Amino acid sequence: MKRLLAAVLLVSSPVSGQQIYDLLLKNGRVIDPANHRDGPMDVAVTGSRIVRVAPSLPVAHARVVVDVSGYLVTPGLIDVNTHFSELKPDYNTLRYGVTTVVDAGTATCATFANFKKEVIDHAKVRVLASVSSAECSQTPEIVAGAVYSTGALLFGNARKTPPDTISSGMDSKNILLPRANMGTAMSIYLNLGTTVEQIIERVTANPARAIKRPELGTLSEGSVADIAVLEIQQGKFGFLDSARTRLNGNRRFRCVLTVRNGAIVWDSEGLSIPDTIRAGPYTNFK
Amino acid sequence: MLRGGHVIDPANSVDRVMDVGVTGNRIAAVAAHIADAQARKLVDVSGLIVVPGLIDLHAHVFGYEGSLSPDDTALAAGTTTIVDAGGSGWRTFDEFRRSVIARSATRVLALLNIVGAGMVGEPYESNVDDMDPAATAAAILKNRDVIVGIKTAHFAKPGWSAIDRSVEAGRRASVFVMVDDKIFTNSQRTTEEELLKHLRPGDIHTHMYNDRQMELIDRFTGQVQPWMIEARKRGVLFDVGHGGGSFLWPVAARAVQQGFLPDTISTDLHSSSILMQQSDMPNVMSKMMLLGMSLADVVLRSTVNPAREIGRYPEIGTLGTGKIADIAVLENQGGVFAFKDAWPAKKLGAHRLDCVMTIRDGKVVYDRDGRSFPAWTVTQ
Repeated sequence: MKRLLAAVLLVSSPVSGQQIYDLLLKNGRVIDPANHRDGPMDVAVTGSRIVRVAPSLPVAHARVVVDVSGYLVTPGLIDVNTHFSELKPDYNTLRYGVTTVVDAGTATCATFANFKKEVIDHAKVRVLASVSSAECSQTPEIVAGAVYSTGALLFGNARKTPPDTISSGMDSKNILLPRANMGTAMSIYLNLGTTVEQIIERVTANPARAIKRPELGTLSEGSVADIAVLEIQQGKFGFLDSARTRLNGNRRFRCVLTVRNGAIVWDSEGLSIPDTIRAGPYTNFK
Repeated sequence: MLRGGHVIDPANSVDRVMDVGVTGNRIAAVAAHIADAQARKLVDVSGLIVVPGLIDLHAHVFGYEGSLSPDDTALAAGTTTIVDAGGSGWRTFDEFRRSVIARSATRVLALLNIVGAGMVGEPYESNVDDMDPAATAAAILKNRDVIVGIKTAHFAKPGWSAIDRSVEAGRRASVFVMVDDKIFTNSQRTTEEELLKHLRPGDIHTHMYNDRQMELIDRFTGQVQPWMIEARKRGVLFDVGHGGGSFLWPVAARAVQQGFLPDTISTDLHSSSILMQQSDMPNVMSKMMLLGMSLADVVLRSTVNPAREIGRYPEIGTLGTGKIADIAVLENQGGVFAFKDAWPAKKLGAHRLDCVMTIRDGKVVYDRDGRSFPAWTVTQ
């Protein structure tokens, strides 16, 4: 009888389709252009994978529930034009919801091993490298050939046609002025008339296709849990272009939470942690 | 010229709306009204706060695994002077100087680690044989223009060797020691004895609000330990050193309530602290304000006090006429903001300081809203 019961349990658990979620992002507006999803949905993560994207997933099945109502939930952003010869990757990416970057040209074939050791292996953000020579032996981190380079963003050009991919072009010379980062780049297009949906597509599905990594830039069930939770803030903002002229805007993108490989790596609003009042008695033990 | 900001310059007892004029790399005038005609470039900073460039006494920009590059982190936060707390030791300082200090727009100063190899983890950091007071003092005296003190940190063996050798090096080079010590079983040392017997007046204990490192608050009475107050009377100084694990709301709240304020507000800036707690200088200052400190008081402890402790006052830390033009323009934002500690838990606050503009050596190096640049119009 005991044996029979065990067999029934083994069979019944996958049939019911229930699963424990490590992280459940509740009540956000999911924009996932690769899967043509756009609407109120929950996103469930187990381990390092996205396991479910659907409305009204059960809170009781999740170890950590984060209410992201009022925010956009998108695939982790992909920045296909970055330069990490001097800048450190994590600080300049995760806070903008960027979970994959392509470093354009810092490493050559000759220096790639060192770049991998010094930069790629230390970063939480996924660092891919674009190296110019075709003679390189292919490694998983290398994307051969330059994929994108505008070099500069000028408002006069940007307002005409949005590019296929929106990237930052960040390096140590432009990181402070004109603040080359994905938040700035996306906000500029938003204020020049590109729609939110168009922008999200150009920082997720499009760059994934451009770098031939279709498994990235999506919230498909089974894919790596790289997720950005974004807010569109209203207010008075100013943005600079490469010519150092200022665009006055009334909206901007801001990243409030970033999940990389299933782990929360940025949470500016503390959405995933309790208030001191509800955190229980304080002890000095973790 | 910065027009119409609320200038807070504790060194000169200024706390009101003023104009600030910069000529070349120097502060030329701070006055109630400076004529527009006198300015080549005029920036409206009305509604904003103008303070001396912030000084972060405890940060990591070399050596340490989680260290960051100074310019993109510090200057975007209004920090114009950053003190690397022990990333390098006497064996590695030359490389630090060449590769980071000389190449940064931020003024980067250093506390030399008593460990010759620097802050490179175990077993190196607990290797007493590599703690050479004579060699450490010699390197400091050779680089006195940028080395301002000594750091001892993470010593995981019993006894006083690391602290006593640091103090010995400090004596030889006439500089202070900053201590980051841990409480652990069988350490054969106590914070009380350390503060009262081993450190000198002017030496600094960092991580003051981390009760895993020093028992600031008696866990049974909830009161600040009497020997902490005694140590302060002796002249030992206390630094926040927020970091990833060293700011705890229950500790800081009790301490501030009982008047045990930090001598200096600092970040212990490194990769995980900046990502998980966003603890740059404006963030840590905002947290201290949330606990009841005034804006003028947190500015004092982020400018004048650290400048004094590193022996650079009044060269930096003030907006006095003729001083180097290192200026931070801050916004006191209203809204609902989450401030996170190492527990981890958050405290919601209705105000937050955010850096709007940073001027370093007379140049605008960061401008959040582009307000010092001309507006773009469609016709262009």
